[in-house]
Amino acid sequence: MIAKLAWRNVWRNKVRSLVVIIATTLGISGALFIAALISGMMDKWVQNQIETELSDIQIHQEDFVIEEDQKFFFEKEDLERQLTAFANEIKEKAYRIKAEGLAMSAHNTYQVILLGVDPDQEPKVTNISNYIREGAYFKEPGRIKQILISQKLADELKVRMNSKVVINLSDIEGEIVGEAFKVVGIFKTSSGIFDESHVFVKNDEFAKVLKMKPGQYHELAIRTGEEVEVEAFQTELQQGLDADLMAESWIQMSPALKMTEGYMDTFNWILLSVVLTALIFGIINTMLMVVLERTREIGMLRSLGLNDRKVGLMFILETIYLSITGAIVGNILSFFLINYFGNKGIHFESWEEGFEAYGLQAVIYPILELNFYVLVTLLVFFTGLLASYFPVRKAIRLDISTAIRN
Amino acid sequence: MEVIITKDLEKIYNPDTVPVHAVNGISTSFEAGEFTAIVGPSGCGKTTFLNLIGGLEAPTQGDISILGDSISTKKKSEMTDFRLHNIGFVFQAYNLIPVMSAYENVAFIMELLNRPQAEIKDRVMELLDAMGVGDKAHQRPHQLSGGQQQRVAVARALASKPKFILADEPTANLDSHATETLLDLMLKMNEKEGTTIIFSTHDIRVMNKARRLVKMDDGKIVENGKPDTA
Repeated sequence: MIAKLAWRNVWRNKVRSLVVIIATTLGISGALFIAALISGMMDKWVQNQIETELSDIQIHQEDFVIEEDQKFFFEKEDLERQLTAFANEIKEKAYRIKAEGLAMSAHNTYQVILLGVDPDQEPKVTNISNYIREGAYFKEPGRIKQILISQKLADELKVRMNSKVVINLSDIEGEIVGEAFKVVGIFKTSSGIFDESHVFVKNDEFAKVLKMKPGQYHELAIRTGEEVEVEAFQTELQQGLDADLMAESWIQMSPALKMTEGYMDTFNWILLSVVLTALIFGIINTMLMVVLERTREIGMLRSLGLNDRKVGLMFILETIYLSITGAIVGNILSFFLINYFGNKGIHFESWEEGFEAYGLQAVIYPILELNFYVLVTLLVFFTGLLASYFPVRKAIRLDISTAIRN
Repeated sequence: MEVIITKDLEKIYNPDTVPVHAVNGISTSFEAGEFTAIVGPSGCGKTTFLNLIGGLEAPTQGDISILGDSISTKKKSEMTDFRLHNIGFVFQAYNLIPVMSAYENVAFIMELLNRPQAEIKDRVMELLDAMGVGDKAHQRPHQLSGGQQQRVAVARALASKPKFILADEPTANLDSHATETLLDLMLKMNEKEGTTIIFSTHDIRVMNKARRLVKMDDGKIVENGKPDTA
């Protein structure tokens, strides 16, 4: 009965209640949509970093990680033997040769990271092959060694397809070597930072330049199955490897990525807190007005025998109905908006360069986990509960005889 | 049998600033089944006296005993519960719950008392029919005339079969016909249900219907007895 009375009371002043409900709806849907936008952006960012560069787990010689010297490599055969126990968890893997060097053209010189990859195996682990704008993801072996460079680096070096780029670097014996490579493909990922610093060559050709023997590599990139929890698997994997080998998850390789993800989560909660705080004050104001307007009625109800608990419950329910109605409508609205734009994407093409500078894609697909909706609804419920405190206190403190005469 | 006894009852408003003796040492009693009018000019203390015996206000001094139980010492929550079980109120401004139908208004107290739905339905319709508004059961207060609203308010006051009903100027907002009808119905219910009814008024037509008149002036009872003697 109290619940029915409270619900009907909400609709006594339809305009006022609708204003509160619409404000709540807009606040909640706005906050959820921004949270979804940020989540979508972060999700894609992390996914891009994993798919383009990091993969889930990488294995190196420990000294290679510490000293970044190409003389610290491992034998594929040895590592394969150690990985047999993890065949179920490892979905795909690709061996790489890695070194830093200078990329030179007739016009410019750039410091780059060279990745010697297997053209058949690497596309199963990373997605650079999807970003080829011109040329191909390597060709059949030819007279001259092949290189893939980014559009950005091509512009900096002022080279085009089929141009020659000379790479200078130290081989595993520490001697400076120079080798000419022919540009067979130009790629462009969503990360400008990655693009200007990475070039790809074929690992068999690169091994010869570095004087490495077949079967010797610096890096193994691993993609795990979706069901595998990467951090737990990394720990397990590390225990199964020789002491001189080091397995690192993408979180360990790029802690800033994980940290930024955490910051963005915090930002989402701060945003939501701001909306909920504004909501609290809006509801308190509305409900205090309600108590003021219904002073005589409250006096009447209490004189008839409605105790403080029930008077309080009536106003708590009214407050919760107001806020929860707005939250539910806001959730539904944002659910449809997020799903619509989650499929179509939001295009920020005019800011593409700015996005790329941070390694972000200019098309964002908002995404929000279902439990976030549930959590927000619960938070709005408790916000309503909190906001009802002052109206309830005012209602039960009214002097009955004064209230009736109001 | 005396159901209400007041002893040296006093109510002083603003005791620390400008003291106003609204009720000034009233000692009286009311018998079960009485139909009593408290009369007097505006500001003589009628409403305050009714509020005191209804437990809506606490006396400054003196004691009120209802059904042998002193209510002056009851806690707020105990008094609320006491009112719910024993007292029905009728107000000058009807004070029906605007978002509820006539039926729901009358059923309200019985639902608070957790009475069975079947009992509530029978009792509410019996009262609404008796008050001549049975056909208005599903209409909301704003769809009823003042007289009809007040009849619903009386039905509400009677719904839980309280020991007595306190009505503060119940006819003040009604025209003469509606006043006549309401008082006749209240008298009928007083006789049928045996409920003690105490109401305040300064309307001469209402006074003539009462079985007992309590005249007040300046917060005191100045005359007390049957209408022809008071």
